[in-house]
Amino acid sequence: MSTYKEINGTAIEALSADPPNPQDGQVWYRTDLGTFKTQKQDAGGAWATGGTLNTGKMSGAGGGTQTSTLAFAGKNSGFGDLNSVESYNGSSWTTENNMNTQRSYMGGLGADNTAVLAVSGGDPGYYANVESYNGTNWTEVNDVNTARAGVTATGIQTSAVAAGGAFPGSPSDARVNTETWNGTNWTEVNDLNTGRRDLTGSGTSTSAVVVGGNPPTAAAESWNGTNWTTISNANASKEKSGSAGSSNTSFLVFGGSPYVAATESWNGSAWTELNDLSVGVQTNTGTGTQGSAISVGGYSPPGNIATTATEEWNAPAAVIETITLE
Amino acid sequence: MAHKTYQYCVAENWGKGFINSFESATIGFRSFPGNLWRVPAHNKDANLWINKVLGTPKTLAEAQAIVDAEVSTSQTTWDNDNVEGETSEQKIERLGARPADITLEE
Repeated sequence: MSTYKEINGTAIEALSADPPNPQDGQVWYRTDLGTFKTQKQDAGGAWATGGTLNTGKMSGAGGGTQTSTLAFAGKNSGFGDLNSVESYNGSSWTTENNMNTQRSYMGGLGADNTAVLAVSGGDPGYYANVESYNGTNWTEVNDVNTARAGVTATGIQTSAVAAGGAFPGSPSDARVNTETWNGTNWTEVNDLNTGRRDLTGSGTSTSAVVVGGNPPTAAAESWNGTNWTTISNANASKEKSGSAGSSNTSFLVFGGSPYVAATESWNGSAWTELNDLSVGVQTNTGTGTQGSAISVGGYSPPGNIATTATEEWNAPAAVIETITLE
Repeated sequence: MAHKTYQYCVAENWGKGFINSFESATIGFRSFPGNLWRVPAHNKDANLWINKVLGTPKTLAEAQAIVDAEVSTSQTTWDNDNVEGETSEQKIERLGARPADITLEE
């Protein structure tokens, strides 16, 4: 008979309290209780339609949470660049002041819909511009060092990381460049392992995941604030997808090219297929966390109509259960 | 008579509450151009959802005609959107691929 160690590579830990950040399926023995415990993640999360945008939007960006999101810029149904902005309160979208520079395929991040950063972007062209939103107006702040489109960025308005994208004059379109933001300046730091544009990433400036991109790939990397580490590939390629997450052990990716409805989560050790979006969509934007996210806009077949639709993801929190031995 | 796997209806997504989490997880939706929705046939939850959203049922032929009209319009828009000197690759980069025909399943 196989042992737990043979299957999992480690023995069951004997602990006097539950571990602070257990992995799904991890088993431990509580010495104080005399019982085995495990963390169980209910994979029963599902999408539901959310409030409808006032204006269809694709290839835009966003920042915030499921109930406090800002969606900005991107393209309209005619593939023209937008500088329009809408905020979401969990029920409905409200038009806000425009950004200074219209663009698409930029990075977006923020703690809520009143503290957001729009990073770089382009199409056509490449912008180094970064703009900061305070709940009312957009202000130009210091540029990134390398202008690029198809970049991803995550974190909060005062501490962020931006990675990947494409920029002119490069030998290859897909880049590895990574920059961190301290609230004032951008600094070049260690590169991604795999160059790509149109990737998606979520987390914080010190703990994040990126996945997918163009050339089409399922490759994923984990960021610890200093280095990118290649992790397991997602189950399927992710290009122009949306994502949400709070760390490099809690990440959700959804949608993408070509009109993908699939949703996958990363728990720090494995990817798990979850329930699909109601509508397959690409160039959608994601914000929120692994357990509470929103997918905003994008486009679906026949292919050139920017959607006003949004979907909201809710998943039950992981629970620690006692294992009963028979 | 062939056994229907799917049924189609037209319904406009009004946003919050149009599809709830239970419906999303259990029914298995697919959307098509023209506010057309495909859900499983002979399915109680799908039937209840169509009633909830006041969906207008469509036969396969009617649904296909709706999709064909929408795709044709999109293809014409794509075909007519040209920039002088632009290569076909550059056009695809700018607009995405030409909208493809969609064939609905029974």
